[in-house]
Amino acid sequence: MRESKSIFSNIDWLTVFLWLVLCLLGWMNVYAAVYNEEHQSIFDTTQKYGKQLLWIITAMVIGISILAIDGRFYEKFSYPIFILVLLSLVAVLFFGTKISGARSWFTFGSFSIQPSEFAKFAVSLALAKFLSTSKKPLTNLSMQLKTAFIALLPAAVILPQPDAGSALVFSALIFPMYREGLPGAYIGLGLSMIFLFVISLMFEPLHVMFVLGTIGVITSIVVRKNKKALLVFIGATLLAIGFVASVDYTFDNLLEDRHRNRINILLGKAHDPQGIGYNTNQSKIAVGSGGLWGKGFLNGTQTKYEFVPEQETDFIFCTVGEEWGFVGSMVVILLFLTLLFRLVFLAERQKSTFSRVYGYSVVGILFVHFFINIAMVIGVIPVIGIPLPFFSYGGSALWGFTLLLFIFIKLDAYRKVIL
Amino acid sequence: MKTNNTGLLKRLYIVAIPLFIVLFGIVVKLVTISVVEGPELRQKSKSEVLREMVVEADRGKIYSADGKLLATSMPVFDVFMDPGAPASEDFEAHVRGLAAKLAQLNNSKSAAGWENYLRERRRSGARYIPIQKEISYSELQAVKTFPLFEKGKFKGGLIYEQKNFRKNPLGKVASRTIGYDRENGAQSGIEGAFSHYLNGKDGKRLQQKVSKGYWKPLMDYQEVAPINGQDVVTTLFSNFQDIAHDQLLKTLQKYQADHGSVVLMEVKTGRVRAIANLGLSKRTGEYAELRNYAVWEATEPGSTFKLAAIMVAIEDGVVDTADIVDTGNGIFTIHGKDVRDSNVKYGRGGYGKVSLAHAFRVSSNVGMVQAIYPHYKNNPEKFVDKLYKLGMHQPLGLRIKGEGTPFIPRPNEPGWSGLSLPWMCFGYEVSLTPLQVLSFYNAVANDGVMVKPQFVEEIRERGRTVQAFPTEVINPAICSKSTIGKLKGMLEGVVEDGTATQIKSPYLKLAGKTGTSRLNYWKQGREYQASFAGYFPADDPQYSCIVVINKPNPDIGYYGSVVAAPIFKALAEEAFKAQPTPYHVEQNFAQHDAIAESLEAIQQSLLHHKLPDLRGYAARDIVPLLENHGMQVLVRGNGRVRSQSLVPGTRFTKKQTVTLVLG
Repeated sequence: MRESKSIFSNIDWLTVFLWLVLCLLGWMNVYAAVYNEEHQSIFDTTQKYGKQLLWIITAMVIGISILAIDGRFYEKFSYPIFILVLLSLVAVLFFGTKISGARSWFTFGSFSIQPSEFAKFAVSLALAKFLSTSKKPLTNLSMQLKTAFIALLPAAVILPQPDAGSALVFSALIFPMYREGLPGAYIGLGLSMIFLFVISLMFEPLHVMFVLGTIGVITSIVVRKNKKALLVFIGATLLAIGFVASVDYTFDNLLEDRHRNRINILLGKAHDPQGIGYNTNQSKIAVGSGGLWGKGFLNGTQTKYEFVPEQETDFIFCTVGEEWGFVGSMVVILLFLTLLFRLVFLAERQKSTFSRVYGYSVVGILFVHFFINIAMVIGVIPVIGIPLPFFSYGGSALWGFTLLLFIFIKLDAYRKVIL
Repeated sequence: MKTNNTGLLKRLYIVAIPLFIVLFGIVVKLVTISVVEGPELRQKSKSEVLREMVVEADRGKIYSADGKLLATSMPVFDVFMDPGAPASEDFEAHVRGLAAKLAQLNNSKSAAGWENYLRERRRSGARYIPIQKEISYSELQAVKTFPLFEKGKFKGGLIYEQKNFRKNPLGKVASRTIGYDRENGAQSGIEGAFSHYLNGKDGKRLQQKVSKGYWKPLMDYQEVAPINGQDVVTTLFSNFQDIAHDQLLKTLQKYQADHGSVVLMEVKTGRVRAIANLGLSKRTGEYAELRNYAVWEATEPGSTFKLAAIMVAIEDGVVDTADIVDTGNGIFTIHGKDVRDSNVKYGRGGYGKVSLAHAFRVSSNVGMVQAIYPHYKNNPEKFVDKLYKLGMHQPLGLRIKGEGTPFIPRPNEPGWSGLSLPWMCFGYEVSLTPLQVLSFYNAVANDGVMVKPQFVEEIRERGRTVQAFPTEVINPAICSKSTIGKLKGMLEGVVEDGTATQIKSPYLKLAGKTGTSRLNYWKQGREYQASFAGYFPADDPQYSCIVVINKPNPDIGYYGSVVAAPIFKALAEEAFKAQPTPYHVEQNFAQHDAIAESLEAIQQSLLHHKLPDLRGYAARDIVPLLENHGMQVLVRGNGRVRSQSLVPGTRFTKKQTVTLVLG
C-alpha cells in the first residue's frame, strides 16, 4: 500500500480522454444543431453552445474536485448522499418547475437543475454500499428484494414527474446485480417479458395466447416424464398467457396516449408523419440524408431548421448523422463502446466489491442511455426522452454523468487502497 | 461475490451476446437508413427546406382613352383566427376585448356573440375560423392592434391572407363593359377579353427555411421575376361616359323603364367613346350595370331599321326618295294583317300621298311597305340577299364576349312567312343588337365604310404603347355614294322636319332616326322599346350614337322621339363642346405614375399623423385615406382639392375634422 502524491496519480487517463473527446464532440454538434447566423461565435454564452462550454468547464472542475476528495469518502457517505438525492427528488415534485410537461426541475433565476440526473450516481453508490456490506448472496430472495428496492426507489419517485424515460434508466442496475450473482433467470425473465410485450402488441393478443398455449402443451407432453420440468413449463405457459392478457389491459388502460401512440407508430400500426411520429420521421430523414460521409460541419439543414425537435438535447445524434454521415455515427458509437469496454475492464480489476458494483452500475447506466438514445433517434424503439451521455446539451445531465464517471475513476485510482 | 473465472466468464457471455446482437441491429439500421434509404431521405430533406414561392404579378390597369383610371388592383385582406393558438391566460384575459373589437369590424355578430363564437370554436378545437373578408390595408393595421391579435400569429392567433381586389375608381360607370375576370374563370367585358394582356406572368422564387417559420429567398437559385400585366387603354372618354351614364340613368328613372343602353362611337374609327348599360335590379330596386345590353341584347329594332330597307331599295333602283307613296288612311292590310301608322290611334289616319323621304321622316309604316314591298314581293330573296351581303345577319365579331346574334329571316328557311318581307320594311321580323344597328348608322355617317366597333385603343407597358389596335373595316362600301347622300338627307330631315324635331339643336346639326317598337306584340301587354340612332354633326359626322330604352312605362311616354332622342341630343351637345384634346390626354397619362407615387407618400405621412398637402388630389383618392386614419372629413364642392382647413404638416389626432374645398 502506498499513499499517492498527487490527486492525478493512478488515474486511468484513457477514460478521462474518452470523456473529454465525447464532451467536445457533443459541444461541436450542439453548436451545429442550434447554429445561429447572428451569433456565430461558438463561445457566445448567450447561445446554447456557449452555455454548453460553460457546462463542460464546470464539469471539469467537478471532475477535479472528485479526484481531490479522499476515495473513502464515497463509500462512507453513500447512504447520506442517496438519502439527500431522494429528498431532492421528492421535493421537486412539490416545488419544481414544469418544463415541457414534466415537473423535473428546480429553477434558480435563469438556471435550472434536474435532480433526477444526480440520482444515477447516488443510487449506484447506495447499491454498491449495500451489496458490499451484506453477507448474504443475491441468490437469496430477501436480498433480491432489498437490492431491487434500493435500485427502483429513485425510479418510483421520478415516475410521477412524469419522466418515464429517466425512470427506465434504473433498470440498468440489473447489470451489476447480475455480475454479483443475481440468477440469470431474471435476465431471461426480463428479456422474455420485453419479447412478449412487443409480440402481444404486434399481433392479436388472443392469437398470441393461443400459440403460447399450444407451445406449452406440446413441451409439456414432451417432458411429461420429468415432473419438475413439467410443472415449470405449465407454470411458465400460464404466466406467459397471463402476461399477454395483462399487456393488452395495460396498454389500453394504464399507458398514456402519447406512449400508446409512440409504440403504435413504431410497430407500424399507426402512420402519422406530421403528428406524433413526426420526431422519429424527421430524425430518420436527418440521419439518412447524411448518407455515408455526411453533409459536412454546419451544412445540416434538418437539424438546424428545427424540423427535428429537441435537436440539441435528446436528438443530438441526428446532427452527427446528418453532418458526419454513417462514418461519423460509427465513430461516435465506437467511442462509446470503447469507453464501455474500458469501464468493464476497470470494474473487473477492482479489488473491493463496492468499487466493482459501482463500476458495473456506471457501465449499465451509460449503456442504457447510449442504447436507448441512439435506437430512438434511428427509429428502432419508440421515442423515450433521455439524453445521450456527454453529448446532449444540458448542464444537469453533463454534471450528473461526469459525477457518475469520475467517482468511478477515483475509486479505480484508489483500488489499491480500498479493499 | 467471488466465483471461479470460467463461471464468471460464462455469465458475462450470457449478457454480452444479446447486447452485441442488439448493437449489431443498431448498426444494421444505421446502414439501412444512411446508405440504402439515404438517397430518398436526402430528397425528402431537400424538399422540406426549400419551397417555391409564387411571386404574383400585378394585373395591368385599365384606362379610359383620356387617361383616367377605370380599373386597378389593390390589395385586400381576408382575416382569420386560430382560436387555439393563444395560451389560456391570454385568451381569458383578452377574449372579451377582442370580441368587442370584432363586433365593430364585422357586425354580423354582437360582442357577446363573437365571444361565444370564439369560445365555442376554441373548445371544439378549430384552428382556422373566418373573421372578416376583404378589408383594406389600413383596416388590417387596425385589426393588428386588437387585444390578443397584437400578440401576433403564434400567440394571438391572427391569420390574414392577401388577395388582390379589382377596383373601378369611377365606380359603376361602364362597369359592365370593363367587366371582370374572376378566379373561377368567369370572364366578361374588357377584363375578360384582354385578360391575356392584363394578367402578366407570375414569378417564382425559391426560399430556404432558416428557422421555425422563417424563410429567406435563395440567391444562388434562379429566380423568375414576375412580369407585371400590361395596361389596357380603352376607347372610352371619361367625360362622355359620365354624361351617357347620367343621362341614361335619369331617363330610365323618369320613364320607369326596365333597362336601356347608350353607345357613342367615333365615326371614322369605330372607337366606342361611351357605352352605358343600366337595368333595374330586382334585388335592390335601383339601376345598375347588370348586363351589357348594347352588345348582348338582340331585339326587333323597329323604325331605325327602315334606313336599311330603304337603302336596299334605292340601291336596287326600284325606289327613290322623291317617289310618291300613298300612306292612305294609315292602315294597310296584307295577308289579313294590318300595317298601321302610329298616328292612326290619334284619329289622324295616315299622311295621304307623300314622298318617300317624307314618309321616312314621319316614320310611316304604311309608306315603307307601299314603297318597297311591291318591288320584292315576288322575289323576296333579292331583298334579303342584299341585307346578307351587308353582313347584317352576322355578329360584328367583337373582342368582348357575349355579343348577341342578329336574325334576318330568309325565304324557304324557318322563320319565314308571307308577312316577313312587308314587316321587315319597318323593322320587325328581324332582330339586331343596339351595337349592330349603330354600326350600320355609323357606316352611313362614314360615307359607306362600315367599321367594327372597337373598345380598346392600345396596350401599354410602363407608359409606352406596345400594341395599337387599328380600325377594322368590315365593309368598305355598303352602298353607292349617291345612295349615302340620299340616306343622309332623309336622316337630317327626321330632325329638321320629322319625328325628332324636338331635339333640334341650336349648336350643331343632328341626323338620325327614331324607333318605337312593340315588344312581344303577340301578347296583350303594352311593352315598348324606344330608340334613336343617328350621328352628328350632320354635315361632317364625327360621332354616331344609339340610345335604346326598353320597356318604359307607356303612361309616361314610350316614343323613341320622346324617350330616347333627348339623350342623343344631350350627348351630342356635350361631346361636341367637350371633346378632349390630345394634349389633355397625354397630361392625364403622365400624371398616373406621379399620382401613384405621391399617394404612397401621403399614406406614409398619415401613418406618422402628419397631414400632408392635399391640394390637387382627387377627393375620391384622398378622402378614404384620411378617414382610414381616423380623421373626419368634410367636403365642399366636386373634383380636386383646392384648399384644406388644416395647414399641411399639422399633426392631427383621431376624430379631428378637416374641411376640403374642392373645385
